[in-house]
Amino acid sequence: MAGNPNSGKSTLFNNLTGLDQKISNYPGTTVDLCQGTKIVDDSISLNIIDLPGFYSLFPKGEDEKVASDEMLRLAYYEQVDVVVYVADASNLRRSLMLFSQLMDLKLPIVLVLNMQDLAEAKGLKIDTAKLSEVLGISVVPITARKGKGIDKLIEVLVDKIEKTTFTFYPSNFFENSISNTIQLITNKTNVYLNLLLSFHPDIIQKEPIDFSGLENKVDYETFQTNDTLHRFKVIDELLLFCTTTTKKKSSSDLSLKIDEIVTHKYWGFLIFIAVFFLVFQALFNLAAFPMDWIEGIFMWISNLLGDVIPDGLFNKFIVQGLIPGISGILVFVPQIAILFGLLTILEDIGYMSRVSFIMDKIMRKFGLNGKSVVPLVGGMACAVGSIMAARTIENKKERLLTIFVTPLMSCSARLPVYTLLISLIVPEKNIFGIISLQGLMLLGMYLFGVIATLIVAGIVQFFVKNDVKNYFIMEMPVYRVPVWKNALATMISKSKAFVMNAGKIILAVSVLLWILGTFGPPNKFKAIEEKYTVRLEAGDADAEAQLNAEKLEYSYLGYLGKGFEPIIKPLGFDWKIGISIISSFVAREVFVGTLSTIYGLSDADQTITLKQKMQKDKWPDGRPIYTPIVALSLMLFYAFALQCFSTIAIVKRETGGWRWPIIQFVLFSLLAYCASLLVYQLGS
Amino acid sequence: MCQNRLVLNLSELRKGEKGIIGKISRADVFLKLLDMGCVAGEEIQVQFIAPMGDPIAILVSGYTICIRIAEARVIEIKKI
Repeated sequence: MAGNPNSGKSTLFNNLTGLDQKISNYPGTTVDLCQGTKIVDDSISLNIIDLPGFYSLFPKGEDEKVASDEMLRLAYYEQVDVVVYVADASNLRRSLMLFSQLMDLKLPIVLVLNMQDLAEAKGLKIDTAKLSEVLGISVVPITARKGKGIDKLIEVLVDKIEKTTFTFYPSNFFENSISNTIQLITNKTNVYLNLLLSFHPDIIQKEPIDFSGLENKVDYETFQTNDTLHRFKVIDELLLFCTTTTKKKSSSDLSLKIDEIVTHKYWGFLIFIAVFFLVFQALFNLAAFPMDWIEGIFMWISNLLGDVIPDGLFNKFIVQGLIPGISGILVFVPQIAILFGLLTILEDIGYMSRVSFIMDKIMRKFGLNGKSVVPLVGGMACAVGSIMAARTIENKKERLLTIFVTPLMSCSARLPVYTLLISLIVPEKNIFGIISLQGLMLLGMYLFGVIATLIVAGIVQFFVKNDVKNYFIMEMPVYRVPVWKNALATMISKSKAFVMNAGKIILAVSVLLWILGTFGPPNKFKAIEEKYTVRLEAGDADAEAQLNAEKLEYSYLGYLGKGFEPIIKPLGFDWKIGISIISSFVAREVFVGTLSTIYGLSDADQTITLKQKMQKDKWPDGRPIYTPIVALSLMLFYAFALQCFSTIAIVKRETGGWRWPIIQFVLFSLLAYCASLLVYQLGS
Repeated sequence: MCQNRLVLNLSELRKGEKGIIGKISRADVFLKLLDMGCVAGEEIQVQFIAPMGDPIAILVSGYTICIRIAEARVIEIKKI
């Protein structure tokens, strides 16, 4: 599936494949592609791949290059059954440009004219039968948002795809020395394909091709200019022949009226702040109920299994290690689902591109770009996907800076950490009846992340070389009613990814911690047990809890944590927090799972939650551990530290080396330590 | 000041004003706009302007694109 950005490709993709999609690595490339399956009947199923949107086979940004290279690869290796080209019928002229290029690659292709409703509102009538006849391929009008025409499209896709001889731009026009040379390598007769391949030889072979010494060479820019201008000429003739326009009140009039307000001098920023304020309130208020249910269910299961399974090591493993581990993952699914759902809706209705528009000038001051806003806001969900989204930024410096600072935005993995710590120090109260204090504090942490991001970008920009390509040109789609299915699809796929990817790590770490926390040097453990035997036999109620706590302290885990404690004591953290910090260098959300396991070991009382256990916890001298200042110091540590293997891996991949991820890791760790130190030392 | 000239830059157009695209004097901007069908001879109109006066949003063959003032300066416009 290919097409321009904003052509409604993803909506069609969601409509066809339903909610069962996966993000996968395409064989032979490092590119993540959205893949889904449409089962037509018992014998036929369609395997669909959704490519990033692009404008032409002459890519300007990294994301466009991914899609454009893929098209050349498919044309060269003839590996595709059919290319479904999704065109925006309301912007037919522009949409057909890329389509014409793909057709001239001689790819088997079906033209889908999406957004029929918008085209009709504009007064544009397209004679699809005539268009199909001229082009010699199937043309299917649809409105993906309303699910119209999808059945017809499936019928066409299942049928045999016709081959056509129609050419937009006779390729012998380009015929020259280069195309002859490369033809010897490619063995293809299609001159257009040959020429494009000559500019991207990496698609066919590893070694660069030597064109030196050839006369009559065509340079890339001239080739693109002639190619594109000629295509628009042919398209204009085609449209004259196949479409009629009656002047109607355009639907973009309403869009324009909305933009008057959304991009207004004062209202623009106010709306921006209000929108994100609402998002974070929803995040706390809506997610609170399912989170309570999940915690409740797991407490019930834990009690039940604790009674059923005979006492012993296995019982302890299940109740103290496994169940807190699983519940620690699942409890955050509601928040992650809601966050991704809301971000998808904002993107879907067209608001995100307005945010880029109104923020561009501010972002530029920090060496960023209006388009950086999308990765940065996405960074509030997950830095990994967002760093890839930075590919839309054409300027290398602005893209690099965006990648560099995106991990400082408060991602959803920090959400569990913040949620837990905020619930420890901020009372569960509403002001004015509806605004949750905890939600407000969370918003504060997110704002802090934003400010830190901008300041770091503002400083680092002076250390990065500038790039020649330096512009901000972006299409602004008209406002649309959101497609709920799109939001639902993201909610499901992101929650699934969280449970499967992060969940696996959290579970493994939980089990490992339980083992380290349950066992210790045997003679030491024996001595402790002997110390308590008398009191236990006398039925002393406190004895068991004290025994467990002391055993944990002298377990292998305890030794490890104690060894780390001197480094983090100046920040106000004890060894239990230390262990949690170490384990969360794998991924931040492990923090909460680790604490649940540690407190599950030291405090076997299954009737109280982790939060209550933490509130009870004290230093040896009786001072409570989790004072507001410690919680704040800890939150600041998490705001800065780059504790995420996946982020490091993706930054390495996107920047093409270890240099930037190493600088990032060292700088952010230092910032984290210093910020925590400052707050704790000043605050106490 | 110079509003009476026939040929000016896109950055000089005010909100709501229309014009025809002429020469685009920066290659990177020209090639990017070329992809999007925004080429010489097309009619454009300034639709709205960002809160801080930059970038601007222009209507070109039925859809809206936004562009910074710095890039708008290299686009020649014949006012209509």
